[in-house]
Amino acid sequence: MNTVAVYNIKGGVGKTSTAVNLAYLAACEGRRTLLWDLDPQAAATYIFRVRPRVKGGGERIVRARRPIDAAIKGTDFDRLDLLPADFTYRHMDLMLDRTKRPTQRLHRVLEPLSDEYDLVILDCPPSVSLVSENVLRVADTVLSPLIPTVLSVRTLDQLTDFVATVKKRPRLLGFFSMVDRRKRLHRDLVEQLPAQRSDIATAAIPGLSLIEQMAVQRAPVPHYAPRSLASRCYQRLYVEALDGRPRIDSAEPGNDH
Amino acid sequence: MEPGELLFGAATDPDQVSAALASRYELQIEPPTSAHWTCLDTADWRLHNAGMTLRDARRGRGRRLLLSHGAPELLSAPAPARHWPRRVETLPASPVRERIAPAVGVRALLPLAEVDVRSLELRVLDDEAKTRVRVRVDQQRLAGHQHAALPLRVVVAPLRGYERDAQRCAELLGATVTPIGDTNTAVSAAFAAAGHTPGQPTVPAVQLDPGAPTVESLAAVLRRWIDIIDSVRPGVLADIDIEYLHDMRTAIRATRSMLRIAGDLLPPMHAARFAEEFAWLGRLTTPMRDLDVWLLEFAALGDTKVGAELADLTPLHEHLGTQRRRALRDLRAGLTSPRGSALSGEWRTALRQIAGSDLPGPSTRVVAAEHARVAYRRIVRAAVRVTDQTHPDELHLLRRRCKRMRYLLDGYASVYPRGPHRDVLAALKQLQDCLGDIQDVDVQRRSLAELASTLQRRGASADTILAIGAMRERILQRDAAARRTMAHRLARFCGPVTRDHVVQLQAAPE
Repeated sequence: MNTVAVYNIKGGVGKTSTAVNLAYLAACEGRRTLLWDLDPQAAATYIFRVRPRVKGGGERIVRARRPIDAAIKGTDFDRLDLLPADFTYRHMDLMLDRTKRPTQRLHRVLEPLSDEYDLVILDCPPSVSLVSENVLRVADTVLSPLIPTVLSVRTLDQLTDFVATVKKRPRLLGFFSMVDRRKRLHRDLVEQLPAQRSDIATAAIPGLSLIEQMAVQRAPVPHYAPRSLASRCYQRLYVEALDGRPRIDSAEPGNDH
Repeated sequence: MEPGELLFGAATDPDQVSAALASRYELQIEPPTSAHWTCLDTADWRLHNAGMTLRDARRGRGRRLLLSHGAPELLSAPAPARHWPRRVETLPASPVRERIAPAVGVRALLPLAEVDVRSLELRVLDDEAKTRVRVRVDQQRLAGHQHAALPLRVVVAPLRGYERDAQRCAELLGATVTPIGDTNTAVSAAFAAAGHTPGQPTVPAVQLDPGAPTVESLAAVLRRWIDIIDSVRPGVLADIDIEYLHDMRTAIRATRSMLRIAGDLLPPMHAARFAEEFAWLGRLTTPMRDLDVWLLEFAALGDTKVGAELADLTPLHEHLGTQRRRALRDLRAGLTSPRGSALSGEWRTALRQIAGSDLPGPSTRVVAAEHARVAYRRIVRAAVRVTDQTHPDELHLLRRRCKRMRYLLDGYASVYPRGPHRDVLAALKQLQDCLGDIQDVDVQRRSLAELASTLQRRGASADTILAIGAMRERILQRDAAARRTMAHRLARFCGPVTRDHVVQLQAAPE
């Protein structure tokens, strides 16, 4: 099981749209995929039309009082399941703090699912907290969306330092998100930085209203606009960040029955 | 039944299903799609008997192997590019192959029914327009000239976390549209429509009248064995899998054995002539079977220490492969020769004459019991001399006596009382397995020496000869293990309990 965290200290940089679209593409490719919406704002949960509620709240999951698989919901797409957000996740730091080995808790929670899923994607809340420490410990890859500004790139450096504090370091890969090609700074950074830094992906996600439409369509972009520029960009990111195969066709995963 | 599968009468309209669900739920109906299924199983229904169904499902350009195996979810894997029949080891590695391989063994998967399917997918939505349950309605027709309508198949598939919704949908459908009240799957219904009886042998067991004249019953038993020979003949010629030849050889040996035991009941001309003909047929099949056993031995080496030296054994494997191709060519030539082609027809004619002859004699039950008693006594006599040092040739004679008794018990099964018959057969089978192992080892040991010297003459490397030596060592270990077990099994078979059961074979069947 490969675990990928989509994480940034900052909010509003495209974490949820990235997590949702990459999870969908992985399921299309045939990977058994679980998306865990760790953000109490529950945006990914909303997009998949699932009720943002976990029986017993985050406490029961974190303290392993209830098997995690009982909380998992199937999405409308084959091979793609969701562990929904719950408003109690806003206190997850406190919940984790009350457990033994609080920085390894998410690892232990996800361990029983290792045979069931090929890929787990964590849609993380924006913060530096005990939750993020857990995420860094459980993730094999941390994907960090960056708005192409100097300050955002500085954030990646801070994140690199943060990752360095973890014993088993995950691979950290930044990528530019919400790129506005009309802005010179955006163009320059997107063209130059990936060539200079191996921790920034060459694939970049444009800032398009089609992506914002996800909350209206309540579906991943490649589902409702499979041949759009946005879909192609997410596909490139998927190939580069998750070793995915380029899609041969745009067919959705079908119902095998 | 597959998980969530409901079957309704062939005349059921799919609209009845959607109307029943729409009366209570918000539905989204997807455009209809078409598919083609090739329903697969082995010739002896190994998947069916293991509670599995396997389909090669073609939808558009995509093809998937779909396996139902009693778990809540289907297993699926890419289907192989080539057509059926296929042996399991030639399928691409996948969870489906992993799951079916132990059940299928050496048999090939055959396309036993072809089905055209028109599918309608209904999505049961909640108030957020989220799909909670998928309902697939499959209108099925047997493909080909039969084109029979098959039951309407409905699969109610819950999405994870919404199992209760699926249960409610299934209950609603069960209450409003009456399902077929049996436990058949859509696949087994397709098999039945294609003229097969899942789980049953191609040639059913013969039901004899215990009071009927022996000659009449003997003819029926012999007719069943020639039916088996004829039914497996195409599989042998096409080399679909090695069990066709094995079944053919069993039926040949059974026929020969019965001619030897009860040949005096037949007109002497028939008995002598056909004994010779079936002996010829048996000899024709022997080289190929011996090579099949060898290659099976190779396949079993995979997990052993010798398996690590398989690369060194490649020349031996290739040599055996070449010999097998030659043996297959000779076998095909023999079976399709005028002699091979005519045997079945002439034997059937003779059997009709025998069955129609009004020869006086005792009833089948009396003769069958007497034959069993004599066969048992002969085994016990031979067994007295057996020790753990007995030469394989002598054990081979004992094994042949066991086989003769086995064919009797198989042929006349329906005239023996069930309980004693089952017990005697069980003890006999155990003994036969053990003796079979010892004989296989002996044959392989001898031919391994010949093969080693042949390969040495052809310049095989020292590593190859050493690997053959390791293989021989492994074979000899099997011999020792089989001999240790033999003493115990012989004691059981020759002991008072089995002896009493043999005596009880004279009783009338229940």
